[in-house]
Amino acid sequence: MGAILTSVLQPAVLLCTLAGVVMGISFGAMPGLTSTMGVCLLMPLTFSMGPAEGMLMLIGIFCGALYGGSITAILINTPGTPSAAATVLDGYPFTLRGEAGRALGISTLASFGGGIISGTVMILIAQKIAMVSLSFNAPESFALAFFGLSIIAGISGKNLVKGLMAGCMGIMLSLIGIDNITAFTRYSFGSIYLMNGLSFIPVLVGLFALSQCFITCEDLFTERPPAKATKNPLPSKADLKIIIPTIIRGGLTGTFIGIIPGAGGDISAFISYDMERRFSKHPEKFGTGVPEGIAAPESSNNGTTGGALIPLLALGIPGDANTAVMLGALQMHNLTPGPQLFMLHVDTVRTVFAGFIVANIFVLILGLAAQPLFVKIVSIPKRVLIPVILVLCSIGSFAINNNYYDVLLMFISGIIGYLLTKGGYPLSPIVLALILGQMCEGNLRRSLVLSQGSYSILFTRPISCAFIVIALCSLAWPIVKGIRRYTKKTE
Amino acid sequence: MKKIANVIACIFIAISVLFFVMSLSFPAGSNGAVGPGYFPRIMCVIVIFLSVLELIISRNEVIPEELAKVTLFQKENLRVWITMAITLIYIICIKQIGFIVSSIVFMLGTNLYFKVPEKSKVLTVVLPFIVVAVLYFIFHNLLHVNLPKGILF
Amino acid sequence: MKNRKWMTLALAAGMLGLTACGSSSSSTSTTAAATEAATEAAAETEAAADTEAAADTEEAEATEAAAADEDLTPIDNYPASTLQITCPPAAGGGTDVLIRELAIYMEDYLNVPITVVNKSGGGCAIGYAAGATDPTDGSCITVGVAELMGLPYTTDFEYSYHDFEPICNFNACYGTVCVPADAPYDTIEDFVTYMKDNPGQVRWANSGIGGPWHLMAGKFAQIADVNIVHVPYDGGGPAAIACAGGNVEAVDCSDAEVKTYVESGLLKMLLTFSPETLSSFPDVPLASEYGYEACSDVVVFRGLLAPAGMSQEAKDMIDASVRYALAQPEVQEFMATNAYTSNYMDETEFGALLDSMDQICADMSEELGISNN
Repeated sequence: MGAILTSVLQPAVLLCTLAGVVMGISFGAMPGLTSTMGVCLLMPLTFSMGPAEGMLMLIGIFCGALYGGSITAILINTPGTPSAAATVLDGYPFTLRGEAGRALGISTLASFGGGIISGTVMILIAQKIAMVSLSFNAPESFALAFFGLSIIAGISGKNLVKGLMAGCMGIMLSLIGIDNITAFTRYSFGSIYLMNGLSFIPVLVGLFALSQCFITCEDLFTERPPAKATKNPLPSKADLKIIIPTIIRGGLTGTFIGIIPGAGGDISAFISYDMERRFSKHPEKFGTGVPEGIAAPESSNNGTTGGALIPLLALGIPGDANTAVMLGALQMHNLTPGPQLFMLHVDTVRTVFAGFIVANIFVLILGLAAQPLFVKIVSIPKRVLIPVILVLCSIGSFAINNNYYDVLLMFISGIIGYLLTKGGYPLSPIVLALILGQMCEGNLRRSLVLSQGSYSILFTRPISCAFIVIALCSLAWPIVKGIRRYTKKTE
Repeated sequence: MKKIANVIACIFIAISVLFFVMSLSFPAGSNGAVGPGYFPRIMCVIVIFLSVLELIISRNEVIPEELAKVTLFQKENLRVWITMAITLIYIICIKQIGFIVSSIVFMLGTNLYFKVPEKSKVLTVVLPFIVVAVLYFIFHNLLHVNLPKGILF
Repeated sequence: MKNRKWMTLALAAGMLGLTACGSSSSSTSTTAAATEAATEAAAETEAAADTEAAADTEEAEATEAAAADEDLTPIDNYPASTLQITCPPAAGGGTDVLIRELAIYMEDYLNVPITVVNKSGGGCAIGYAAGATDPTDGSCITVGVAELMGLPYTTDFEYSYHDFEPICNFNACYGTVCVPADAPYDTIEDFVTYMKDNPGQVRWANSGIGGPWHLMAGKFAQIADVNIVHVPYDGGGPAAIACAGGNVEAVDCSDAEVKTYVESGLLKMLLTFSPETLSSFPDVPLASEYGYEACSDVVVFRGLLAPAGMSQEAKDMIDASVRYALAQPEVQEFMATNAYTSNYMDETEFGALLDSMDQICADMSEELGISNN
């Protein structure tokens, strides 16, 4: 234990971790810049560092960015990263009430808690549960995506039909582009810019950030209630009582989903949010600004960090783009992840474990310390803020692929987002469907190739069967409830 | 709001019909897998069904007063449409004139239009330069993104 | 009140500035690299530094020897005043990182400023559409990668490698055949026999429909005269995981992509299509020993392409600049630590490789039923 502490408590290691967390938070908070981008950007920089310093810097960015996304989600109704898309639902209402400080405190603590829980799971049983990720193949991925899509009903707010409409439309849009199974190009209208489908980040930025700007323009001169930084940046005792169980559930869910290859913080945040709403005593209050609505997605998306590291370290399987880059960084230093890493390079593994915990502690400290600064953003008059956000959206969408058409896509999504909001259509189902649509369809058809046309493959494998059954139940329940309510009303 | 929602539902139906017709020409699947048109067709049918359902339900739906007032083409919406137009011009200008100049002009222009702020004229003028300088530094120097140059920077 | 507003602004600016300083020495341009870029980067670096180390040194020596024969002192008469290199794969990926490293030294040789511009998306189609219509005065060239070969056959893409002229190739990797470690066959011959006994039962994972490894698996099945089911995944990594988890019977991808699984005992490698023995897996037999050398024409290459019609003089100068860059010790060290094999090919060799690969793409896209025409 002492050895681990001394290996982490070296100034160089601590500094690298801290730098990573600071950069991660900044990247995460800016719409259009994501943790993947930050990790890719800093990868060459880590070549010249030791393995521990390099890995911890990347882990710092990874953890920091997932937290940073919630800051803009709460303050200006714009998820900084896709993972914070679920945080918008309950985070922004807090700001509207002038309680931005309270919301940020909850989000900081939840991010920290989720990270620590997943870190603990990683340290204790990494090797034992890593094998789970190998048993995840096409049928399981389909089942998970299907389960994720069933949440659309849960995040549709008051209007179930409109939510489902938006969700199904999102699925349809996610299918644009080259089909992964037959190489046939669908709905591209002959344009090479649609050949790989809609770029996700510009659509996300347009739907949330740009449309929010337009909506704000309507009442430009009425200012929001002034947000006060809470005296004590930590959540109050009453809040703590509510959110601690939520954080534990969210953290564990996030860890599990992080282990699965191809599923990340964006999916897990939505799933946790929906679970929390379902098990809540007051599900109807979700979406109006309840502490659990922030704590669940935030603890869950930070929980995926540790989860994603489990198959990476134990088997050499990268669960997402971030860990894929980390795999490269490890091998740069001649460390091949897998069972032998635990035997041959115990020191490095321990340092990574301890550093992961330290990175999360930094998230907590920085988040709490900078909270008054973040809250100030809300007190900047809207009229000053909007032009800045408009410029940032445009340039962020451009930078993702160096592609001017992405800026136009962002603009069009912005107008669509504005019109849909005006018509009372929720936007979150579209985002969720864009994340999961292709994953769901592609993996269903891949499963059928694997089973040579037999649907039984989906039900003979325990994990996929379980997910599908849960999904079907959760889809059916609100529909049954909705019909009952409707018939009662008309009677 | 009801009107807007219904128009959107009709647009959804139109898109679904278009996508459905297009999917009919997609090739059939092989190796036992369903073809590329299978999923889109299911989605189209669901969207059409739900849209029609929405149109029917909304006929005798009671909408809260503050939502019923939501409008698109009234006096208070004018600023939104103008902002949209300015943003579109800005986006076109990024490519033609270049990022730096068009961003500064855009921000100065919107600041004037939004009457920002009454108290400090200096801020109105200086802020765009600071923001553009910071963004240019981050994207050009740090991320090595070649920002659109156009004819002037 | 006014002061406080300024303070906030200054603080925010300072924070951003700090962030920037922390990483301003980064050499790659990284826009939000899409997942594909990141996975590509990982695949690149997946092999440890010692991969192909021996081959690399040999190769490097050969390059140096060539450099000694020929005068590679920097020139100052390049016909254009700048050189823009279009990189169709996403920023931060393996191709992007390598070309940016090379560009630093090519610039020294050509004495004109070189900019690398990523035009990613559309499975590289956007970049190649832009590159094919570039001016031919020597001011623009494009990085050629294997994805270009399949595009005109599987999609509506209207350009092909015929719209470009090869300059040279600087990096390439070959495929391998892997099966789960607990499979009942240990040699490629036994596996082929097994496939013949179970026609249409063997599921073969590849990194993507119409991609190089898919075409190679098709070619392999054609030569071996077996009937297999191709299962396309979204990248080499997921395909390898599917095989490691026993969900498919075989996978073909580069040795770097399966290295960790072979070493941790989840997969066994039956065959490599490399013309030379792999230094990381010296015991794995070569395709030429079993008559599958035709598959070795499917190569995941990285080279430079000029828009058709560029002067021979300019192409030769760029070619020389690549050789100059590859001979630099910094580049050699960079390629060795990042597990890039240095397979330099000149214009003729590279052109021949493109032609034979194009033939395979044409045949196999028909055969596999993924042809667009």
